[in-house]
Amino acid sequence: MKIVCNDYAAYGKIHAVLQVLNHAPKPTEPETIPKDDGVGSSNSNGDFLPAVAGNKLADAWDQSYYDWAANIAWKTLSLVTSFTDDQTKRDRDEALIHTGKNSGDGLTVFEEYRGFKLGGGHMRLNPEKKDVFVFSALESRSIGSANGLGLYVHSILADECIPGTGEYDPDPPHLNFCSVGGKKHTAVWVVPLRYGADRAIHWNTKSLAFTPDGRKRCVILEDKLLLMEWSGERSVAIGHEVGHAIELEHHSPE
Amino acid sequence: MRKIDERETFLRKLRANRAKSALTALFLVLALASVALMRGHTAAPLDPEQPINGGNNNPSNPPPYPITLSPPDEWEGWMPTATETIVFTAVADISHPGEASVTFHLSEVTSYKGRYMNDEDWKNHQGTDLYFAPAEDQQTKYGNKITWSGGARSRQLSKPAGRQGLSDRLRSL
Repeated sequence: MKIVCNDYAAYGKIHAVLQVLNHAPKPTEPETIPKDDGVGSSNSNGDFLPAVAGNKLADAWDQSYYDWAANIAWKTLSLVTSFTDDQTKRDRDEALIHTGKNSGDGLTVFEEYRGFKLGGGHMRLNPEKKDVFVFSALESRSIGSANGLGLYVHSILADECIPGTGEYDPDPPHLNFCSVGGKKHTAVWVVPLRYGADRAIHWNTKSLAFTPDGRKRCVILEDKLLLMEWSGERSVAIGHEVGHAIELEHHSPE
Repeated sequence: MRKIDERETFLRKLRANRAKSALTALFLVLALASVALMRGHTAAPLDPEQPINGGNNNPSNPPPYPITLSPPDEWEGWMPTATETIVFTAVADISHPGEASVTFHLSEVTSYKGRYMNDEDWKNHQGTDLYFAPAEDQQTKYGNKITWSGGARSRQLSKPAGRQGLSDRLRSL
């Protein structure tokens, strides 16, 4: 029996029924697709990795993140217990980032499991890390980050999100419009701002985050950016302003 | 005197006819009762342990015939991937020479309805891209119910297919 899988998070059950003439039908036990019976297995190191039955997430995925539990820090947080909740539960990245105002990345365990189209391919995400999606329309496509932030910055392509209708459209670009919850996940949309285009901008700033109404938008003063001769410096500048766009406080005295 | 003889003859014939009618009625009643009993027997719930007619043709392999459903290879680590085809295999050992068939049933096929999802969003998910479905060449008028049909003597009902190289097979011993 050939079955086509049409989604990265599809779930179902299958059973077969044998019918012999003059006998009652004989069904098999149903099998979940994907395997979701919670029967764990051992990894190559001989460590037993448990899985969660009936959470509609592949046991293999459950186990891949139990593997992360080999990290001492995770063991101390008893995350195995928290992961037995249903997949609507927010993932394990709820802690505040440094001095940031937002906890977590807004994605549920299920959404991280289902994954996203990122950079031309599909990727499941790590429920233990905060994820930020960024499209940069600037010359330099590289987006800087900083060590120790605990952030995964995913560079996405323009057609992997649904952008607003214009550069200053307050409607943010939507990533994964089929996401659960009617809650559209937004991407940071890095756009260039040419000198003199907007008097409201503080001109002495080489680049800045622009978040009208709390929307995630990062506007970079392109002229200032182009003055940076080293591409790495430009990358750092973009990453810095992306941090502002997600309300991190890089300049905090802490 | 002649009239008396004629009357007695008439009465004898009448008694004989009545006896025949009673006998016929009795047979009719017995026949109807037999039919009713037989119908009552066949209407009873089917028991996979017991063939209804003909007894067990092969005592070494009595019914119910074993059937197993096997997932694809490398099932332990498998996660759903869009557009991928997977193959499930059912194998039944059947010694009964009668006709047999295997049907596959997909159920609870869905993706996910989160607690944050509103009805409209969920409605948009229905029937779009969130499902497992029978491969196109196996879709029938039954929708998600895929039917193999054929005699138990058929050793292989379809060609090996899918990346796992498994075959849909109904084995007859």
